[in-house]
Amino acid sequence: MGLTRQATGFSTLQENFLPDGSNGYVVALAGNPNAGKSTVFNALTGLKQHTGNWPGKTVLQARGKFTHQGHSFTLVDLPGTYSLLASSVEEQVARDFICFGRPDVTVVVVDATCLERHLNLVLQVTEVTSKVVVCLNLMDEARRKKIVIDVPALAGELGLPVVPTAARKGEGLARLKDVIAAVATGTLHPVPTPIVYDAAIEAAAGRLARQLQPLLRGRLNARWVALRLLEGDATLIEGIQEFLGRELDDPGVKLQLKEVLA
Amino acid sequence: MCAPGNREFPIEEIGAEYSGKKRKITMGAVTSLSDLKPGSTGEVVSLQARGLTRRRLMDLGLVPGTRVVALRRSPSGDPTAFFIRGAAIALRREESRQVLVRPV
Repeated sequence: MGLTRQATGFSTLQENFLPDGSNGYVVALAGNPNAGKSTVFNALTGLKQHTGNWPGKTVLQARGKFTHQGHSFTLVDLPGTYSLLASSVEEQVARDFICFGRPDVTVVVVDATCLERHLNLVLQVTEVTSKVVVCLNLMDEARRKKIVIDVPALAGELGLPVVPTAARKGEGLARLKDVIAAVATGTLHPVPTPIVYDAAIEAAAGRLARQLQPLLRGRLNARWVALRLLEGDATLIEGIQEFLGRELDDPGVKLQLKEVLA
Repeated sequence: MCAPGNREFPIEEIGAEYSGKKRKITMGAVTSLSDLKPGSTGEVVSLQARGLTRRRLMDLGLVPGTRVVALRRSPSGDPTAFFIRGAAIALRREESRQVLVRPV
Protein backbone atom coordinates (compact mmCIF):
# COMPACT_ATOMS: atom_id res chain seq x y z
CA MET A 1 0.00 0.00 0.00
CA GLY A 2 3.06 2.18 -0.23
CA LEU A 3 3.19 2.78 3.49
CA THR A 4 6.54 2.44 5.10
CA ARG A 5 7.00 1.48 8.65
CA GLN A 6 8.40 4.92 9.27
CA ALA A 7 5.31 6.58 7.87
CA THR A 8 3.06 4.61 10.17
CA GLY A 9 5.22 3.90 13.16
CA PHE A 10 5.41 5.33 16.58
CA SER A 11 7.03 8.60 15.57
CA THR A 12 3.97 9.60 13.55
CA LEU A 13 1.87 8.37 16.41
CA GLN A 14 3.54 10.84 18.68
CA GLU A 15 3.28 13.63 16.14
CA ASN A 16 -0.26 13.01 15.09
CA PHE A 17 -2.05 11.24 17.84
CA LEU A 18 -0.86 12.15 21.21
CA PRO A 19 -3.14 14.72 22.71
CA ASP A 20 -1.84 18.12 23.78
CA GLY A 21 -3.67 17.55 27.02
CA SER A 22 -5.28 20.98 26.89
CA ASN A 23 -8.05 20.27 24.44
CA GLY A 24 -10.41 18.01 26.29
CA TYR A 25 -10.91 14.28 26.05
CA VAL A 26 -9.60 11.92 23.41
CA VAL A 27 -12.00 9.30 22.07
CA ALA A 28 -10.80 6.47 19.83
CA LEU A 29 -13.20 4.90 17.37
CA ALA A 30 -12.33 1.27 16.64
CA GLY A 31 -14.15 -1.51 14.85
CA ASN A 32 -14.07 -4.17 12.17
CA PRO A 33 -14.04 -3.11 8.54
CA ASN A 34 -17.56 -2.20 7.41
CA ALA A 35 -18.99 -1.68 10.89
CA GLY A 36 -19.75 1.92 9.98
CA LYS A 37 -17.02 3.63 11.96
CA SER A 38 -16.64 6.46 9.49
CA THR A 39 -20.39 6.99 9.40
CA VAL A 40 -20.44 7.22 13.19
CA PHE A 41 -17.44 9.54 13.02
CA ASN A 42 -19.16 11.88 10.57
CA ALA A 43 -22.41 11.78 12.49
CA LEU A 44 -20.69 12.73 15.74
CA THR A 45 -18.38 15.40 14.37
CA GLY A 46 -20.50 16.78 11.56
CA LEU A 47 -17.55 16.32 9.24
CA LYS A 48 -17.74 14.78 5.82
CA GLN A 49 -14.90 12.38 5.88
CA HIS A 50 -15.11 10.07 2.91
CA THR A 51 -17.07 6.94 3.61
CA GLY A 52 -17.01 4.09 1.20
CA ASN A 53 -16.77 0.40 1.08
CA TRP A 54 -13.35 -0.74 0.16
CA PRO A 55 -10.60 -2.22 2.24
CA GLY A 56 -8.08 0.07 3.78
CA LYS A 57 -10.14 3.18 3.23
CA THR A 58 -9.17 4.63 6.57
CA VAL A 59 -5.57 3.52 6.54
CA LEU A 60 -4.42 6.19 8.88
CA GLN A 61 -6.64 8.07 11.21
CA ALA A 62 -8.99 10.97 10.72
CA ARG A 63 -9.63 13.32 13.57
CA GLY A 64 -12.56 15.53 14.38
CA LYS A 65 -13.95 17.39 17.34
CA PHE A 66 -17.29 17.71 19.01
CA THR A 67 -18.51 19.30 22.20
CA HIS A 68 -21.09 17.80 24.48
CA GLN A 69 -22.30 18.88 27.90
CA GLY A 70 -19.65 21.59 27.92
CA HIS A 71 -16.78 19.14 27.37
CA SER A 72 -14.68 19.05 24.28
CA PHE A 73 -13.86 15.71 22.65
CA THR A 74 -11.35 14.82 19.97
CA LEU A 75 -12.56 11.82 18.02
CA VAL A 76 -9.96 9.64 16.28
CA ASP A 77 -11.26 7.35 13.54
CA LEU A 78 -9.00 4.28 13.49
CA PRO A 79 -8.59 1.87 10.55
CA GLY A 80 -10.96 -1.06 10.48
CA THR A 81 -9.43 -4.23 11.93
CA TYR A 82 -10.59 -7.70 12.84
CA SER A 83 -8.17 -7.90 15.74
CA LEU A 84 -5.48 -6.03 17.64
CA LEU A 85 -2.85 -8.52 16.62
CA ALA A 86 -0.96 -6.04 14.44
CA SER A 87 -0.44 -8.42 11.54
CA SER A 88 -0.95 -5.53 9.12
CA VAL A 89 -0.17 -1.83 9.08
CA GLU A 90 -3.83 -0.98 9.76
CA GLU A 91 -3.99 -3.25 12.76
CA GLN A 92 -0.76 -1.88 14.10
CA VAL A 93 -2.01 1.71 13.80
CA ALA A 94 -5.21 0.81 15.63
CA ARG A 95 -3.45 -1.17 18.32
CA ASP A 96 -0.72 1.38 18.91
CA PHE A 97 -3.26 4.12 19.34
CA ILE A 98 -5.43 2.18 21.76
CA CYS A 99 -2.39 1.03 23.75
CA PHE A 100 -0.03 3.96 23.63
CA GLY A 101 -2.25 6.89 22.64
CA ARG A 102 -4.12 6.27 25.89
CA PRO A 103 -7.50 7.57 24.75
CA ASP A 104 -9.90 8.59 27.50
CA VAL A 105 -12.58 6.42 25.93
CA THR A 106 -12.45 3.76 23.22
CA VAL A 107 -15.68 3.30 21.30
CA VAL A 108 -15.86 -0.04 19.51
CA VAL A 109 -18.33 0.13 16.65
CA VAL A 110 -19.91 -3.25 15.98
CA ASP A 111 -22.30 -4.42 13.27
CA ALA A 112 -25.58 -5.43 14.90
CA THR A 113 -26.27 -7.84 12.04
CA CYS A 114 -23.04 -9.76 12.58
CA LEU A 115 -22.20 -9.79 16.28
CA GLU A 116 -20.48 -13.18 16.17
CA ARG A 117 -17.70 -11.65 14.12
CA HIS A 118 -17.53 -8.21 15.69
CA LEU A 119 -17.50 -9.06 19.39
CA ASN A 120 -14.01 -10.56 19.15
CA LEU A 121 -12.49 -7.10 18.79
CA VAL A 122 -14.54 -5.83 21.75
CA LEU A 123 -13.03 -8.53 23.95
CA GLN A 124 -9.53 -7.75 22.74
CA VAL A 125 -9.95 -4.05 23.46
CA THR A 126 -11.26 -4.73 26.96
CA GLU A 127 -8.05 -6.61 27.71
CA VAL A 128 -6.15 -3.36 27.11
CA THR A 129 -8.47 -0.83 28.69
CA SER A 130 -11.67 -0.83 30.70
CA LYS A 131 -12.86 2.53 29.36
CA VAL A 132 -14.79 1.01 26.51
CA VAL A 133 -18.19 1.84 25.03
CA VAL A 134 -19.83 -0.52 22.56
CA CYS A 135 -21.66 1.25 19.73
CA LEU A 136 -24.11 -1.29 18.38
CA ASN A 137 -24.41 0.21 14.90
CA LEU A 138 -26.53 -0.68 11.88
CA MET A 139 -29.57 -1.30 14.06
CA ASP A 140 -31.77 -0.23 11.13
CA GLU A 141 -30.20 -2.98 9.04
CA ALA A 142 -30.70 -5.47 11.88
CA ARG A 143 -34.40 -4.56 12.14
CA ARG A 144 -34.76 -5.02 8.41
CA LYS A 145 -33.23 -8.48 8.74
CA LYS A 146 -35.52 -9.18 11.72
CA ILE A 147 -32.60 -9.56 14.10
CA VAL A 148 -33.56 -8.79 17.69
CA ILE A 149 -30.78 -8.01 20.15
CA ASP A 150 -31.21 -8.12 23.90
CA VAL A 151 -29.12 -5.02 24.58
CA PRO A 152 -29.24 -5.10 28.42
CA ALA A 153 -28.20 -8.77 28.38
CA LEU A 154 -25.31 -8.02 26.01
CA ALA A 155 -24.19 -5.11 28.20
CA GLY A 156 -24.41 -7.36 31.25
CA GLU A 157 -22.37 -10.14 29.66
CA LEU A 158 -19.66 -7.76 28.49
CA GLY A 159 -19.71 -5.54 31.56
CA LEU A 160 -19.74 -2.54 29.21
CA PRO A 161 -22.20 0.16 28.21
CA VAL A 162 -23.84 -0.81 24.90
CA VAL A 163 -25.54 1.92 22.86
CA PRO A 164 -27.69 0.87 19.88
CA THR A 165 -27.36 3.29 16.96
CA ALA A 166 -28.23 3.70 13.30
CA ALA A 167 -25.63 6.32 12.53
CA ARG A 168 -26.69 7.07 8.97
CA LYS A 169 -30.15 8.01 10.28
CA GLY A 170 -28.84 9.83 13.33
CA GLU A 171 -30.48 7.34 15.64
CA GLY A 172 -29.00 6.83 19.11
CA LEU A 173 -26.22 9.39 18.69
CA ALA A 174 -27.35 11.70 21.50
CA ARG A 175 -27.28 8.75 23.87
CA LEU A 176 -23.86 7.67 22.53
CA LYS A 177 -22.47 11.14 23.29
CA ASP A 178 -23.97 11.00 26.79
CA VAL A 179 -22.32 7.64 27.47
CA ILE A 180 -18.96 8.71 26.00
CA ALA A 181 -19.03 11.81 28.21
CA ALA A 182 -19.97 9.75 31.27
CA VAL A 183 -17.08 7.32 30.76
CA ALA A 184 -14.62 10.13 29.93
CA THR A 185 -15.47 12.16 33.01
CA GLY A 186 -15.49 9.08 35.21
CA THR A 187 -19.15 9.19 36.23
CA LEU A 188 -19.55 5.80 34.56
CA HIS A 189 -17.01 3.08 35.28
CA PRO A 190 -17.26 0.10 32.93
CA VAL A 191 -16.11 -3.14 34.56
CA PRO A 192 -15.47 -5.48 31.63
CA THR A 193 -16.01 -9.15 32.28
CA PRO A 194 -12.51 -10.56 32.70
CA ILE A 195 -11.29 -13.02 30.10
CA VAL A 196 -9.89 -16.02 31.90
CA TYR A 197 -7.50 -18.40 30.15
CA ASP A 198 -6.37 -21.94 30.99
CA ALA A 199 -4.77 -22.36 34.40
CA ALA A 200 -1.28 -22.74 32.92
CA ILE A 201 -1.57 -19.54 30.89
CA GLU A 202 -3.05 -17.65 33.82
CA ALA A 203 -0.21 -18.74 36.09
CA ALA A 204 2.46 -17.77 33.56
CA ALA A 205 0.79 -14.44 32.75
CA GLY A 206 0.45 -13.63 36.43
CA ARG A 207 4.11 -14.25 37.12
CA LEU A 208 5.20 -12.22 34.09
CA ALA A 209 2.84 -9.38 34.94
CA ARG A 210 4.33 -9.09 38.42
CA GLN A 211 7.79 -8.76 36.88
CA LEU A 212 6.56 -6.25 34.32
CA GLN A 213 4.64 -4.06 36.72
CA PRO A 214 7.60 -1.97 37.97
CA LEU A 215 9.05 -1.68 34.44
CA LEU A 216 5.83 -0.38 32.95
CA ARG A 217 5.32 2.07 35.81
CA GLY A 218 1.57 1.86 35.53
CA ARG A 219 1.60 3.28 32.02
CA LEU A 220 0.47 0.07 30.37
CA ASN A 221 -1.70 -2.81 31.52
CA ALA A 222 0.84 -5.38 32.76
CA ARG A 223 -1.44 -8.39 32.33
CA TRP A 224 -2.11 -7.49 28.73
CA VAL A 225 1.59 -6.98 27.98
CA ALA A 226 2.35 -10.32 29.66
CA LEU A 227 -0.22 -12.13 27.50
CA ARG A 228 1.22 -10.58 24.33
CA LEU A 229 4.75 -11.52 25.33
CA LEU A 230 3.57 -15.09 25.83
CA GLU A 231 2.13 -14.99 22.32
CA GLY A 232 5.53 -13.89 21.04
CA ASP A 233 4.37 -10.62 19.50
CA ALA A 234 7.68 -8.98 18.53
CA THR A 235 6.16 -5.79 17.07
CA LEU A 236 4.58 -5.03 20.42
CA ILE A 237 7.83 -5.34 22.33
CA GLU A 238 9.36 -2.79 19.95
CA GLY A 239 6.38 -0.52 20.41
CA ILE A 240 6.56 -0.72 24.18
CA GLN A 241 10.25 0.02 24.20
CA GLU A 242 9.71 3.10 22.07
CA PHE A 243 6.78 4.15 24.21
CA LEU A 244 8.66 3.84 27.47
CA GLY A 245 11.87 5.12 25.92
CA ARG A 246 13.81 2.31 27.48
CA GLU A 247 14.75 -1.26 26.84
CA LEU A 248 12.46 -3.92 28.14
CA ASP A 249 15.12 -6.57 28.27
CA ASP A 250 15.20 -6.55 32.01
CA PRO A 251 17.00 -9.74 33.06
CA GLY A 252 14.12 -10.54 35.43
CA VAL A 253 11.54 -10.46 32.66
CA LYS A 254 13.74 -12.44 30.30
CA LEU A 255 14.28 -15.08 32.93
CA GLN A 256 10.56 -15.32 33.71
CA LEU A 257 9.65 -15.48 30.04
CA LYS A 258 12.17 -18.25 29.50
CA GLU A 259 10.86 -20.10 32.51
CA VAL A 260 7.19 -19.86 31.67
CA LEU A 261 7.72 -20.70 28.02
CA ALA A 262 9.74 -23.76 28.90
CA MET B 1 -4.64 -32.92 -1.13
CA CYS B 2 -3.01 -31.91 2.08
CA ALA B 3 -4.99 -34.32 4.24
CA PRO B 4 -2.37 -35.92 6.42
CA GLY B 5 -2.38 -39.69 6.53
CA ASN B 6 -2.96 -41.13 9.94
CA ARG B 7 -2.55 -38.08 12.09
CA GLU B 8 -5.15 -37.75 14.81
CA PHE B 9 -6.61 -34.33 15.29
CA PRO B 10 -6.44 -33.20 18.86
CA ILE B 11 -9.91 -31.90 19.57
CA GLU B 12 -8.81 -30.29 22.79
CA GLU B 13 -6.77 -27.77 20.85
CA ILE B 14 -7.41 -24.11 21.47
CA GLY B 15 -10.61 -23.19 19.75
CA ALA B 16 -12.52 -26.34 20.49
CA GLU B 17 -14.07 -24.60 23.47
CA TYR B 18 -15.69 -22.10 21.10
CA SER B 19 -17.76 -24.80 19.50
CA GLY B 20 -19.12 -25.81 22.88
CA LYS B 21 -18.97 -29.52 22.31
CA LYS B 22 -16.61 -32.14 21.11
CA ARG B 23 -17.10 -33.12 17.54
CA LYS B 24 -16.75 -36.44 15.89
CA ILE B 25 -14.31 -36.20 13.05
CA THR B 26 -14.40 -38.44 10.07
CA MET B 27 -10.81 -38.76 8.98
CA GLY B 28 -11.29 -39.63 5.34
CA ALA B 29 -13.19 -36.50 4.41
CA VAL B 30 -10.84 -33.97 5.93
CA THR B 31 -9.15 -31.73 3.43
CA SER B 32 -7.48 -28.40 3.58
CA LEU B 33 -9.32 -25.13 3.03
CA SER B 34 -7.11 -24.29 0.07
CA ASP B 35 -8.51 -27.36 -1.73
CA LEU B 36 -12.12 -26.28 -1.33
CA LYS B 37 -13.58 -25.59 -4.78
CA PRO B 38 -15.25 -22.20 -5.28
CA GLY B 39 -18.93 -22.57 -4.47
CA SER B 40 -18.48 -25.36 -1.96
CA THR B 41 -18.69 -25.25 1.81
CA GLY B 42 -16.52 -26.74 4.51
CA GLU B 43 -16.60 -26.92 8.29
CA VAL B 44 -13.37 -26.13 10.13
CA VAL B 45 -11.95 -29.17 11.91
CA SER B 46 -8.65 -27.84 13.18
CA LEU B 47 -5.85 -25.40 12.51
CA GLN B 48 -2.36 -26.63 11.77
CA ALA B 49 -0.86 -23.18 12.04
CA ARG B 50 0.99 -22.24 15.18
CA GLY B 51 1.88 -19.03 16.93
CA LEU B 52 0.76 -15.72 15.50
CA THR B 53 -0.52 -17.19 12.25
CA ARG B 54 -2.83 -19.42 14.26
CA ARG B 55 -4.02 -16.49 16.33
CA ARG B 56 -4.62 -14.43 13.20
CA LEU B 57 -6.68 -17.19 11.56
CA MET B 58 -8.71 -17.57 14.74
CA ASP B 59 -9.28 -13.81 14.88
CA LEU B 60 -10.69 -14.01 11.37
CA GLY B 61 -13.28 -16.42 12.75
CA LEU B 62 -11.68 -19.72 11.76
CA VAL B 63 -12.28 -21.85 14.83
CA PRO B 64 -13.43 -25.49 14.85
CA GLY B 65 -17.07 -25.71 13.84
CA THR B 66 -17.07 -22.58 11.67
CA ARG B 67 -18.66 -23.00 8.24
CA VAL B 68 -16.70 -21.46 5.40
CA VAL B 69 -17.81 -20.97 1.81
CA ALA B 70 -15.19 -20.68 -0.91
CA LEU B 71 -16.37 -17.76 -3.05
CA ARG B 72 -13.90 -17.37 -5.88
CA ARG B 73 -10.27 -17.49 -6.78
CA SER B 74 -8.31 -14.61 -8.19
CA PRO B 75 -7.30 -15.08 -11.85
CA SER B 76 -3.82 -16.15 -10.82
CA GLY B 77 -5.28 -18.83 -8.54
CA ASP B 78 -4.22 -17.12 -5.34
CA PRO B 79 -5.56 -15.65 -3.10
CA THR B 80 -9.07 -17.09 -2.74
CA ALA B 81 -12.03 -15.23 -1.25
CA PHE B 82 -13.91 -17.05 1.50
CA PHE B 83 -17.14 -16.17 3.26
CA ILE B 84 -16.38 -16.49 6.96
CA ARG B 85 -18.88 -15.55 9.67
CA GLY B 86 -20.53 -12.73 7.80
CA ALA B 87 -17.56 -11.28 5.95
CA ALA B 88 -15.77 -12.04 2.71
CA ILE B 89 -12.08 -12.50 3.43
CA ALA B 90 -9.28 -13.31 1.03
CA LEU B 91 -6.69 -15.81 2.17
CA ARG B 92 -3.48 -16.83 0.55
CA ARG B 93 -2.80 -20.47 -0.07
CA GLU B 94 -0.04 -20.52 2.51
CA GLU B 95 -2.66 -19.55 5.12
CA SER B 96 -5.66 -21.49 3.87
CA ARG B 97 -3.74 -24.73 3.50
CA GLN B 98 -3.15 -24.69 7.25
CA VAL B 99 -6.87 -24.85 7.93
CA LEU B 100 -8.36 -28.34 7.88
CA VAL B 101 -11.98 -28.58 6.87
CA ARG B 102 -14.56 -31.26 6.29
CA PRO B 103 -16.60 -30.56 3.14
CA VAL B 104 -20.33 -30.32 3.86
